[in-house]
Amino acid sequence: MVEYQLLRAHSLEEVLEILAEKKKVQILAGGTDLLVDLHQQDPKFENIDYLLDITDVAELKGIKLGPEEGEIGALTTHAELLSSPEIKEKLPFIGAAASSIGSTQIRNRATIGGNLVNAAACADSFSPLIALGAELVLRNKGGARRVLLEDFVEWPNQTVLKDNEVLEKIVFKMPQGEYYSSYQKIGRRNAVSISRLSLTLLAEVENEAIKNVQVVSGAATPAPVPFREVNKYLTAKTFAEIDPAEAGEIAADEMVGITGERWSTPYKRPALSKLVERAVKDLLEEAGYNG
Amino acid sequence: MAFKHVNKGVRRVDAYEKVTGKAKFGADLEFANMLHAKVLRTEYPHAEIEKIETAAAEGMPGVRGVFTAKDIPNNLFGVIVQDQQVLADKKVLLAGDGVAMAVAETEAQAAAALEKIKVEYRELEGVFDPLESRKEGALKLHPEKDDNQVIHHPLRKGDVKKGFAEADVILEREYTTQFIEHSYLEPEAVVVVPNEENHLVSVYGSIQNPYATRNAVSAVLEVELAEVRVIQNHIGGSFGGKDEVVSAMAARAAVMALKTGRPVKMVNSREESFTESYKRHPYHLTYKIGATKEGKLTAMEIAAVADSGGYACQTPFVTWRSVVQATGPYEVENVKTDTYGYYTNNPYTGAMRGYGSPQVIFAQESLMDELAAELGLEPVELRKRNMYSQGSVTASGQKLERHTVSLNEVMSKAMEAIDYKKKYEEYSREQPGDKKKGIGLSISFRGCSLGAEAIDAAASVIQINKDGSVAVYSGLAENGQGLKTIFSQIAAEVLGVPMSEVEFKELDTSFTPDSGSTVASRATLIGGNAIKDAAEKLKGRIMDFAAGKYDFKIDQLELKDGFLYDGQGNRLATFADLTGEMGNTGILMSAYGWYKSPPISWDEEKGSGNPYFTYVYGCQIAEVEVDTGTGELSVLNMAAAHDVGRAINPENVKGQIYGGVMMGLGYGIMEELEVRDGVIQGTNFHDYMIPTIKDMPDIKPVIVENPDPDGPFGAKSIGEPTLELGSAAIANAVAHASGRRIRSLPLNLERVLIGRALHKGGK
Repeated sequence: MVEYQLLRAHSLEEVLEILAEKKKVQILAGGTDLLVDLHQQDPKFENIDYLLDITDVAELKGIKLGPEEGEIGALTTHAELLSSPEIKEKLPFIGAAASSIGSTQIRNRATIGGNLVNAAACADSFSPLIALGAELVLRNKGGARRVLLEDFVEWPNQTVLKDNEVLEKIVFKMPQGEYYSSYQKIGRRNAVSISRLSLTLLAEVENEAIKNVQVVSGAATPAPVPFREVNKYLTAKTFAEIDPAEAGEIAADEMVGITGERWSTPYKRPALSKLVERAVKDLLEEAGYNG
Repeated sequence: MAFKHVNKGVRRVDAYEKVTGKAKFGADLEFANMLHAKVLRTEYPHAEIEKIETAAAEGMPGVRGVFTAKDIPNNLFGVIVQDQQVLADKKVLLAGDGVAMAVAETEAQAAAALEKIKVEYRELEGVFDPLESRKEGALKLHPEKDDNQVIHHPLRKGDVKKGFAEADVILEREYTTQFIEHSYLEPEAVVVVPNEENHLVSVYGSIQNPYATRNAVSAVLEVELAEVRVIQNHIGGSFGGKDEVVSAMAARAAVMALKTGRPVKMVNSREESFTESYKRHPYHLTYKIGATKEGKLTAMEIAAVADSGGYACQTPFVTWRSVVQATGPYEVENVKTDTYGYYTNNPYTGAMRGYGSPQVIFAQESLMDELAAELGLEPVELRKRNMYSQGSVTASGQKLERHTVSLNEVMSKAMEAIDYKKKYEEYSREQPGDKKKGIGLSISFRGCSLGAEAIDAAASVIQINKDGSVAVYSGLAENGQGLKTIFSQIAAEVLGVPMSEVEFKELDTSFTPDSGSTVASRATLIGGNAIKDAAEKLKGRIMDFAAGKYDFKIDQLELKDGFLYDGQGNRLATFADLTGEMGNTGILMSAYGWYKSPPISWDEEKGSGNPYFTYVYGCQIAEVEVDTGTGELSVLNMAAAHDVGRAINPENVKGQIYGGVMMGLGYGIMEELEVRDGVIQGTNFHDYMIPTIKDMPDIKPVIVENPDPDGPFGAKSIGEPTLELGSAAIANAVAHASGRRIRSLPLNLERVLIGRALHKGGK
């Protein structure tokens, strides 16, 4: 039987106080992963003395998108992300990823911070945020540090977050100029579905050429990573020089390079290649290039 | 014929209590002094039990007893073959076999006690593939039997050699289907109360077949049937699934209730339910079919091997339905069919909605499309050239003449409902891009009710009280399918009373006559006739009495809306006054109804005869979009046309169609219980995928009515036919869209994209 004491914090200060004072504290946000594990008496809770409910902490909520920089509070729910007009207008791929998660009920509870800290290999929030080059603000009583999101996860369900830290917010630079984005997800059904693969592409474009690009996958590799070879292939190329199918092949090679041949590779290789190909094709089409 | 209550979409009689949460399900039941029990299940698919130590568990707080097989009076039970262990005695035959059970003051105490039970096993090699199990020299799983064969049903007609010699085209294909979980909303639950109202044990709970459960409990306790009372409660879905597994649970609880002298409650968690319950049979099917170049079938040779798992359970009858329906609804002169069931150390398999038909229909209706392509015919055309029509003779030699053979009608109406012809032509043309649409269909004939499995009869009791209220009892059970409503409608129709005067009573084996199991889509057909019989007997008495009292001829009188009319529109009496007066003059105002099906026949050696006295016909069409770049498959639209004889409640029929189509869609494209070396991988809905509402296509239900001479008001069956057609229709649509023929279920991402399934840990 898992036994713990339930604490509830009402301010960020209180959260940091408790984290500084007590050991063996597990933070509870939306609870859509945590409570399931708790009900199943997951042995990882044997090492937990306190459950710290932070859902009331207002400082950890909200979306702010400025002209240069943007931030999303860790407790922002997926429902809030997908219904935000600002997100829809400026970062539609974030909204698309949020809307693909779980069910209405899960999206109403689950938070973006929880999705990141839980760090499942298939978590849907990573690839769009990594594409933005997002950093996480991890705060403890002594102050805050910033970690690049792609360095945050060491291994599935294992992050660099320290015991006395809380994920406060996600910060990123807003894409500039003319930019295009897409988010795609393959699951086994249309709702409450774990990603088999997901893909975000975000590109800044200038004069019919790609200025900056990030192609990032989810569920393809143990931790979501940008496809550096694909990015290299696309960057600084004019539209005319780009072959979407080739980009797909490069991504698939890169994935297999990271994971090695696994049981799922015969499926994931062609499927990922296709997702990348489509993302690039869509980008060219939306940018008005008719090759 | 103008009906007052029948053929109308009246509200379900049990809707109010269900939507308001007032309905009590098995897990809601509480009795004074009640104990809670849990079962320890083995993780080994095949092992000898060397030793079970229970002393430590017995000493745990709150524990009132720990029991093993040696405490069970008679440890073997089964509806067909008595080979299922209540608790494993010397050997466990599947991972999930119960080996011990603990009863305690609370569920948590019972669960804690289980952890203190020590079982020593000697692991044995296992057999996990029925194709291995059937080989000569295979490890024998039930040592008292000659081999691992549970059953073999042959069917022989004509001469297949000759038939294939006449063929211009011969195709040979293999198909496979998967283990399926019933996925009922409510996991199994029972409470057994000892020594209640002059019964040794009373069993309450989530029970599909109260009489089968009574048989099992009485056999296990070695007591008379009259000493065991089973009361059915509201049930949160069953789909064929709450038979043997609940009987075992009831038997275990009964043993503990008698040992402790206190009520004992057992409720499975979802994980326990997955681990312990029986599944739909996976089949391995080989089909050989011959046809002339004009598209006339000349011969079919079929072998179907079903995985029975550790126990026989319903395998003998499931595979029997397969042998009857394996050729599909097609005239074939020369047929050789063999269906088999084999023991393995996999989870055991039993009844599930469809019952041996979804597997063969997937194969045979896929095959018809493959053959059509080979012959250069359109799928519809090939079917039309071969399908049953009035007077056709089936593979078993039955002439279809007693009822309307409506295949052409159901097919045409389904095609019309989904605009098949236009879409077929459109999607047959080259489609640009990766996303391709396709449309596919499948048709079936299905024997109604039990057929030659067993005596097919049912009873009812109707009682008219002195205030004119009507109490209706049936020996068949409401399993969520709408039986209470259907039977109330039939009673109201015959007696001419409003629905509000009819009270349908819960099934209680002490009051209601044994009517067999509520299975095989037989309730409306067989049970409905029994209700009609009782109501007509009472109506006869009422009319006799009224004719005498008012000096009318019987045919001048009419019972309608709770009044007696003189035929000229004048009311003579209220139903309540009339029947009250009859009661007061000493006339029996209760009646038993009984219905026994028309004769059927079956020669088990040759596989010939008239296995069912009537059939239903159905056609389903699926329109899909296949993403040939990623393997994603969307079922966009489905049409489902089913001949139900007569729809007693058309809204309820539509509900059955929607539900069955969705279950068939899950079977077709995503559901698969993964079993590795006998062990289920993932025992809850995190791993086992069923369709969500977002996967639901637009479904067009088409009710076709050709009243059956033997059905109550002409009604037949709908529950199972709705599920059996979808997988083949979808597979045919996928092949039409993408050119890829998939011969294994489910049609998941991997199969659609690369043509084969991938499994974790596999290569």
